[in-house]
Amino acid sequence: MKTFKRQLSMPKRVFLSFILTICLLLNQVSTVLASGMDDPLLTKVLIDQFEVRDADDSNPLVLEGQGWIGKDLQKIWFKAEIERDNGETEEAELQVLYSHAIAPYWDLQLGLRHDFQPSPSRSWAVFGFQGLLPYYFEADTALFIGESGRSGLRLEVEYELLFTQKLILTPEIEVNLLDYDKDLGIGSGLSDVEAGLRLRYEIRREFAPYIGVNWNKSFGNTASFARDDGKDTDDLQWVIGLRIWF
Amino acid sequence: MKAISPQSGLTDPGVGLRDHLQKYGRKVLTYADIKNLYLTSDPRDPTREIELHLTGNMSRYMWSINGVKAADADPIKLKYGERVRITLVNDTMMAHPIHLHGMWSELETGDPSHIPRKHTVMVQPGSKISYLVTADARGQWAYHCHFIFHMAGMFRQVTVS
Repeated sequence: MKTFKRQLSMPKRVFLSFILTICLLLNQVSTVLASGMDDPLLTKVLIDQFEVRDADDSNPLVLEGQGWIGKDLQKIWFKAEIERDNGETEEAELQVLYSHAIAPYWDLQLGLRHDFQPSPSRSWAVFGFQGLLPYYFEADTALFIGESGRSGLRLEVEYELLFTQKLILTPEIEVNLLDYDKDLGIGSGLSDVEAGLRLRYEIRREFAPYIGVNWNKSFGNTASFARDDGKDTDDLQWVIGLRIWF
Repeated sequence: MKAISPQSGLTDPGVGLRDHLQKYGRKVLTYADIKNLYLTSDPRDPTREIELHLTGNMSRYMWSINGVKAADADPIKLKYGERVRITLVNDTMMAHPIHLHGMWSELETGDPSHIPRKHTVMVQPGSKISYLVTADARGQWAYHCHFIFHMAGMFRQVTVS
């Protein structure tokens, strides 16, 4: 008799066990009402960007979100970035982090990042800080240490400009510094910068459609790799999307 | 965050009602307009003052008094029969209705001989308000912000013995 055994790849197993853990934890979340319960277990999911981009010859679909489950000072945090183009996943990144409050508005975050796409996939250890800078700039910084001593640094800053309580303009910028990675066409040093400007209207706080522009540019060797591949080194795209949290 | 120079909370009608006089020509009543019909029942001066800061972190949604949440705090101790002044300073950006169980909160609105008695005192953001309490009920009493989502942290036990 022949037995069929399907072996899941390591990243898939990690991903599935992660989803399972989240489901188990969600089961423990109670409704917080007048019970007077101190430090309850809470959750939040924020899909910050769920959008279609208007690129030169296609319309990639992008999802960027994060969520957490935990108590006042300690949380399990997850962050995801997925980009699909022409029915294919071009980029998929997931971070699972332990987050601990170290200051009133700052969390220290430690954990793992796995890039399922592009291929070949990459795994990283993450060491980061997420919080609020003076004048209400939201910041997320992380140092990534990968296999064979590869490293990267990412800085993200975002600001919310309220025209009214419901109409909000969000400028943001993300800078990536990476080590040389031949297989992925990344040169060392400043590799790429992404900047966005999104105007959203909060129909409800939790549900806000937006329009905006997204600009990205690659630099240095990363840019030369892109040029060799016949790709653009900078790109300005219109975007339309939804921002949702629950 | 801290209210560096807290305003008096007595004359503030609250968010959304502050410009009614200018806009619509109508007066909005505030705490400063309340006066007791009867004489103050305990005319003694307070023998001590307890200042409490209403504190919180909106980003983490943690609420506390004097920066300490209920779970980590000691009770506030009152001596049976004593008259104290409680001064609340609201360091947060939200209003907090503060409720002392078991005893009256006698809001100092200006006329010491006709002090109104209240159960719950609204403390406006960035403001300061004070009231007198006669500790005339022995036991352990709840003392807290009456907003359901603030209650868990912004809470103290008051013991009168």
